[in-house]
Amino acid sequence: MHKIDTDFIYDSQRLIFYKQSLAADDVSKIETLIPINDLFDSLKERLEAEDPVSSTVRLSALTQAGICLTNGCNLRCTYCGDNITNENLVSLTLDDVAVYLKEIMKRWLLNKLVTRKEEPLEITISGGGEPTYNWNLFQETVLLIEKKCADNHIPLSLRMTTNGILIPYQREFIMNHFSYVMLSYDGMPELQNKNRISSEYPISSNIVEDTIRYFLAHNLDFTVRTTLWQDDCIRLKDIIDYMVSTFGPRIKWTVLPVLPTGRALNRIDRKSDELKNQDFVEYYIEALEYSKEKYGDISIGTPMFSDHLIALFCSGLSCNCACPWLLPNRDIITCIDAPNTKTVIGTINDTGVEIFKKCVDPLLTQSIIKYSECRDCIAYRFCKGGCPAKHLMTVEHETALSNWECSMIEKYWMYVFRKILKGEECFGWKVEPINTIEEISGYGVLKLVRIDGDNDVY
Amino acid sequence: MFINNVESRVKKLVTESIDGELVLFNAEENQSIMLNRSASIIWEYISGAEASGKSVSTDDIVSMLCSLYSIPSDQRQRLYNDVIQVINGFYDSGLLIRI
Repeated sequence: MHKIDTDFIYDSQRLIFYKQSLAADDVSKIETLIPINDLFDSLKERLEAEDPVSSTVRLSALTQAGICLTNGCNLRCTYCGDNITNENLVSLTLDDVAVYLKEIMKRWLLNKLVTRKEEPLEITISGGGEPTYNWNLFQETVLLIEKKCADNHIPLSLRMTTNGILIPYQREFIMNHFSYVMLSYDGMPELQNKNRISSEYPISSNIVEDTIRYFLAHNLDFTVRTTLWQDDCIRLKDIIDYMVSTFGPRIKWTVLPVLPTGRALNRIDRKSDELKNQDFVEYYIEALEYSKEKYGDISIGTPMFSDHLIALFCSGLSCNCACPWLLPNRDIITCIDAPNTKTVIGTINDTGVEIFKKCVDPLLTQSIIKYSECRDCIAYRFCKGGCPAKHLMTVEHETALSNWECSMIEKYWMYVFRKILKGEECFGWKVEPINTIEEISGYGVLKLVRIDGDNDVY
Repeated sequence: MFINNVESRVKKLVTESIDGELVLFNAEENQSIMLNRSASIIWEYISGAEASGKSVSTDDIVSMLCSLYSIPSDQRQRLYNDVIQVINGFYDSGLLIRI
């Protein structure tokens, strides 16, 4: 139970709000008549039934897969989580991709047989360093995937991430072959050139902005991802002004503060004392209100705050893998956000793809720990203890930023709850009175719902 | 049909193939099996034999594979052992049923 200001209590197990002034007997009646969401308690049993030291790998039918071609990169971003240098480069070969692709296509066919539906096979080329770093390998991979899928009548959707350091024919190739692109650009030249640097591209903003303009002009579906150092959160409104004035209001944009991992640790440790003054939630909310007033509805999001209820964090039972990733070292893992703390479910060996029967699942271990630690938090239903990969990446380097992020998420939900309890809609949420249960119809109990009606738990 | 003189039948499954490798799905038991290329060829040979009412022996299958892949005769015994293993695998996984 959580107090929301002086008036309301939030019952996170039932996703309801009721007045603090209600008598204990009335509260008991509410608790009896409104059941706890099944997924809330059954999660414990699900987690306890698994063995993180020897998890059964359940990779079966699928419609999504990822390929991380290389960990090479042409930038040396100040916050790079992988801390790539020229000394630790690893890349896949086209043969590796072909062997993996056949396995993926077979599992897609299996999905078709099981569901009797032909959803597109969604393949994402991402991760590591920059997917286009070895352009020939990237191009040949794309053409191979397209040919194999066409030969086998498999509908295909290709997605990718890029840092946008692309020359004209590369932009055109991506334009012609990909249905969605996530492009990294840090919001304005000053920040981009400060954060995303290399000896080859000391000023990367011009070339990346040209890429954005090209994609916009050709109506490619893409999102710009901005990574912000905590002390740059204060610039969010400036960034919005720059992005809209430079690219127009159609731009889709998402922002994420730096994570405490890899190269970022060098600076985070030094600056951790200042974090308490850097309130991403306040800057983010202020920036959204500012942009709405000035530019109307433009698309600004952040992966930091979930917009739906979560049954379990995406990789929490990661051995139940719905989207395997092939890494440059030929490991097959369950989550691209965890290349260094990975749950390895298979590999490519001399005879082809080998999917293991059992695996060690460090991501599951984290979910079990977080279930105990976090289940009483106000944000648990939306956060589920947060990304286990992120926890693992940062566990050896405890910094103030880990707690900073956690407190931001709690603060965000407190903000949302206060707003909706005043009768407003906030970030897709609102409250509705519960009038259908006669015994408590006069108690003013409110339930938390999505404005779009999508109250499913993911 | 008889496989190596054992009366057997082929499980009825839905199948698809990728580059000659079969994906088999048994909707009744929600069971799926993916075969490699060699196992796929053996499976199709056995299924084809059943459909045309013929019996099959390991020797028949080995001869077919030797002809298909131009395998030299000195490797026939090794291939024979591999084919037996594949057929046993089909029985173990319920793809072939002894009657």
